[in-house]
Amino acid sequence: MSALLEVNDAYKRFGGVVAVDECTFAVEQGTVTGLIGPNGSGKTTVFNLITGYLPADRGEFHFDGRVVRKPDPTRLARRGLSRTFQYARVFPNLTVLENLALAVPYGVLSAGRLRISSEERARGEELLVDFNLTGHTNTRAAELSFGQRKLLEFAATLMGRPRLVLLDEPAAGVNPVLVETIEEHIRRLNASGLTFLVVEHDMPLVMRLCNPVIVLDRGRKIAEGSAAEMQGDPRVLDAYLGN
Amino acid sequence: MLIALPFAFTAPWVQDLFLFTLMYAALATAWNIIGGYSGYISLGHAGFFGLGAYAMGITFTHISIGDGYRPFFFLPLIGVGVAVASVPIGWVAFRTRGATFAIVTITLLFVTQQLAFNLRSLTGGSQGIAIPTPSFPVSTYNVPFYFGMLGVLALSMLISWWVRGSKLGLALFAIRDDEDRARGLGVQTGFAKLASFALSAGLVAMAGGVWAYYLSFIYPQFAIDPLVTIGMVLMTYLGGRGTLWGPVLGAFVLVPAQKYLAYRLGASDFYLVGYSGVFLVVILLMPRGILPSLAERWRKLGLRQTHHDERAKEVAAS
Repeated sequence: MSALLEVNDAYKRFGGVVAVDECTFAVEQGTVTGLIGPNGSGKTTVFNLITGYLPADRGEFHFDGRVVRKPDPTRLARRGLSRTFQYARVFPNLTVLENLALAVPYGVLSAGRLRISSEERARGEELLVDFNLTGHTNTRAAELSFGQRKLLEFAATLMGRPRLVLLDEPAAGVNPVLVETIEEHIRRLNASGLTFLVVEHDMPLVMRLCNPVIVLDRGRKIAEGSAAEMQGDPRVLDAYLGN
Repeated sequence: MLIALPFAFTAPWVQDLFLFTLMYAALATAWNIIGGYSGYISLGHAGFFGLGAYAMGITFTHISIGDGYRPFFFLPLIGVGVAVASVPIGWVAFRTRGATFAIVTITLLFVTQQLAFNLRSLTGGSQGIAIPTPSFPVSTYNVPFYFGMLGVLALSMLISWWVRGSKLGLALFAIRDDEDRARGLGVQTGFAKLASFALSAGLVAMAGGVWAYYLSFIYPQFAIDPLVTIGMVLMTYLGGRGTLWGPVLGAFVLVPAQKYLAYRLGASDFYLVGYSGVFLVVILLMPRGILPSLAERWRKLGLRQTHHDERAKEVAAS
């Protein structure tokens, strides 16, 4: 296996608070890598640094074997690195199908073409079947339930055919049945070759799904290994439960 | 119907009213492409209107383009020129968002006005530029200008309709909802904003060109007037921001209302109080603008009817 994403010595400070401190890790191709840690350990900030939503103070990022000098969300998405957010972010005034079509990259010269092409419609409808959202094709995203929005956001990240998807708490705020559905989707997509980096607080889900698991505490990586190893690691227990 | 209007109403003051209504309909439609679709509230569009007006005036003064109908054929060139000039301006302005963007664009308006005051050799400074009056027959003098403005409105509507139905429009609506999320999905938000800003600026400049030729005299306070920007923004909000027909509807309500109030209340500025009153009443009753509010009510009525029919079926079945 080779690393699809590498984070080297990432550092980010907000005023007097160091949110990410010399953080180094890699995500191997074809894995579902877990990124866990107590609240405030810097997981979402690491996501924001990788995807360019926040500029890092220091550090180097590599994606797909190339250095990402100045991470930018648009460029990275077009190169195959996509992400979701802790609170499902969809476009409330667009229809479900438009939410999906939007995520298909196109060149500047194609900006005047029809809003949704027949291929995009076909691919979108295929994804809606997979994500159990059929019947909502022309529904405004604002009218969907929270769980449905989570699924729509997840489906939208797949429209651009990414190679790596960063999922920020995919199980947060959703019912146990939907957690199972999301887990099934991750497993199915991973089996077809898609790599995932998952931030999650639902430990049973992390234990079932992720290998390896990276543990952060106060912005630093404190441990890395299989889910079973991390469960018994005293550094991890200390971070979660305190000394 | 709009084609027949100047022949059905031959009184110059009525034709003048129609012409200004068409002008604001074109301005509001053009402004809506950036302000309505993407949610970026530009308050500097009167600067582009003035650029279009001065482009027409300067062309008359410094390069002879002839009179009569010829200047109308010069309008597309004005539109393209101002659209291209707006790109570096937009590039700077789009480094900001929200209220900051609105403020940055206001400064553009005043910078343009100051340039018009100070580039005397080109613009005539505070004395302005006189454009030769065309030799149209007196009885139908307004008609060519009316059709010139109708042409600009038709072009604005066509471009607005095309943008709505294209990938560019989808990107703009996504930017209005959540620009950062759109970036994360690979949407080229910078290009979408710049392209719509340039299209909008070019169309506004074309309307400015017709306006300058019609009035045959322009000076800085008049050609680059904040009230022009306020007019196009208010009309778009009134009719329905982000809709195709909303800005046109807004112009057809507000311009006649403004002219009527100005006529009733004489030369005093009290008409502005009445004008804002009309706007306030409509916005209080329909906060999202006339068209979206009516569409929403129609939808709710439909839902209520469907619910009522289903209940009736259930009762009949039981």
